[in-house]
Amino acid sequence: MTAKLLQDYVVRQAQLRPDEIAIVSGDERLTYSQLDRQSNSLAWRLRAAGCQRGDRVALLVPKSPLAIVSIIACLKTGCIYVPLDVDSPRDRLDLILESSSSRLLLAVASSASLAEKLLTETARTTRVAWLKGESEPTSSTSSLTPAFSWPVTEAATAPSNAGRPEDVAHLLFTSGSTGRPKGVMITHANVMSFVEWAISHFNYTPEDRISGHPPLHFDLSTFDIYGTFAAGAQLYLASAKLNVLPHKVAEFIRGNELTQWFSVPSLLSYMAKFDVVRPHDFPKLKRLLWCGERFPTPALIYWMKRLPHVEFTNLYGPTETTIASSFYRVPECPTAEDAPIPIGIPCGGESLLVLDERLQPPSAGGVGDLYIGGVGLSPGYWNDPERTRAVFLDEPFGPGSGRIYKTGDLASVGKDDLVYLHGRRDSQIKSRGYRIELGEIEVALQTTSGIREAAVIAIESSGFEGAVICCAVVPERGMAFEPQVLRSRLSQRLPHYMLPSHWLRFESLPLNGNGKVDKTVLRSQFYESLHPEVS
Amino acid sequence: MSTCVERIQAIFSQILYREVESPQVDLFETGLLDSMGLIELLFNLEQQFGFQLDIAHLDLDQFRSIESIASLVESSGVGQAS
Repeated sequence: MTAKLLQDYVVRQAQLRPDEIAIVSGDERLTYSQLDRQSNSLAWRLRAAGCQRGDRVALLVPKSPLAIVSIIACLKTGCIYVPLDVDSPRDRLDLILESSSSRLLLAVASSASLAEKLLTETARTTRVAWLKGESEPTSSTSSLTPAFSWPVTEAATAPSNAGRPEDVAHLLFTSGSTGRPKGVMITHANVMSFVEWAISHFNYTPEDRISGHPPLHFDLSTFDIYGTFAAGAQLYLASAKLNVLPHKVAEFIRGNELTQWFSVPSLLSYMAKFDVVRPHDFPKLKRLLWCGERFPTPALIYWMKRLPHVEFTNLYGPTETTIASSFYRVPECPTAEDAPIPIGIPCGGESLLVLDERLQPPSAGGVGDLYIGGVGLSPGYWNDPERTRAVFLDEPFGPGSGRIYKTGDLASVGKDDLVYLHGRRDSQIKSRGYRIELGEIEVALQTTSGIREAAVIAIESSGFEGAVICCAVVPERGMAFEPQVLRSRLSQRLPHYMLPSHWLRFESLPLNGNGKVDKTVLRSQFYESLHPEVS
Repeated sequence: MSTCVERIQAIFSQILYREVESPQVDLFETGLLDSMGLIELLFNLEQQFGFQLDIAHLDLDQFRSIESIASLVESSGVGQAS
């Protein structure tokens, strides 16, 4: 069969290689047949609970084979799944549940209390459904009346589904500068276009052992999942805790004999910093891919020197254009530590455009705004035509010219015809691969007690973490300045990766001529406090 | 003289700006310790207690709580130095 929808990849592999392993997670293994039949069974339960094509189903399930079963089950019901970050604070998940108006929230024992908090104190129509792992009695300990409780069971077939490739498959919520996360709609066709290009470009085979490193609410994870299933390969899920100790990540790649590693560069730099990669390490590894932010060249050199047998590819693309829109295979180990690494050329079916304010190409080599067009373009933000219109331009070059997305990144086209990035036009930053709008942090600070005024800036670090988030605070009159208390209060509203790591107290915030907070002054003050030896 | 636990608590609150309710709190479950925090923590442990930790021999469980970090420091025989 040809795959028309994302779940068809699983159905096809269950026919071709039913007993081959699809997913590995710690000691847990799931075959393609199990994945197919378990997701059939859960799909029937979703359908019985009233889930129809286009309904949203939120997943509060930590990364695991069960989480992937839930994802495939949602798709088989024609539903749109909304993966939630189980480590995110309740307030932020609240906004996402609200915005997605999910019919169901799927949860497991370990996320039961969070599910309870999310659903009990609001007048929401979302109902919980418990997914029972092998030994997890959840419903008995909860006060919520579940829509259903699903013990892991199998079914030979799935309910009928009239889904089409242009249907939305998932909503991925990204940071929003107004404090409200934006739900990016991604269709089956969006993901499949990239996956089909990638498995042929990278020559995937069923023998591949693919890493599943990013969290499921991160769009890179969709490449790991669907790329693996399209090829009939094996997906190795890495737990988030693995990240803390770099040598454990190396052991994970080595021990599982992975053939592909795909992650944000900050983790690769972190591993380089602690020198955990041995010369000619990971003999089975064929490809190392990164996406999400710039990979500092010195760390890339570190990796390329140690692993001459591996192909190194930089992928680039925001969530709004699905996984990645351009690629650049680094042909040889760079010799200079400051050599810029381009984002390369468009992936199949995509286009990269560097344009000025009049949507004209700047003079040769000039810097302009980077726009993306083609098969990866999301239909827009969920229930948000205004924010969609602001960045998705409809046929700007006349009828039939197609839509383009304004990335907010600045770029140029080099003499080598490759595209190079030159920072951002706005205050969106990347920290450890996470895309963060500084505005979202400032909005959260406004309602944090103990703070009269606050401003947030980011400083590019030379370390592995990308941008370092710094917060300038004017405390409430008579209040002590206790960053650890403020940070803890802020953690009730923001995920940990958005929390500022440096704090300075101000009597008042410096203003520029327009009466706005002077971020240039703040930046230099933080820079001095972080680099006392320089000043 | 402050105890090893107190000194590690001070690193968390004064340098990492992270409020840890008790020395037994699970730092990973609560998201209080991530890769960025670990680097700063290691740096400060090395500065304050004057020893080198070999990351290749470290295990996650040794960093699970302030209490377990304290026993790691004490087992390296330098916990009482200041």
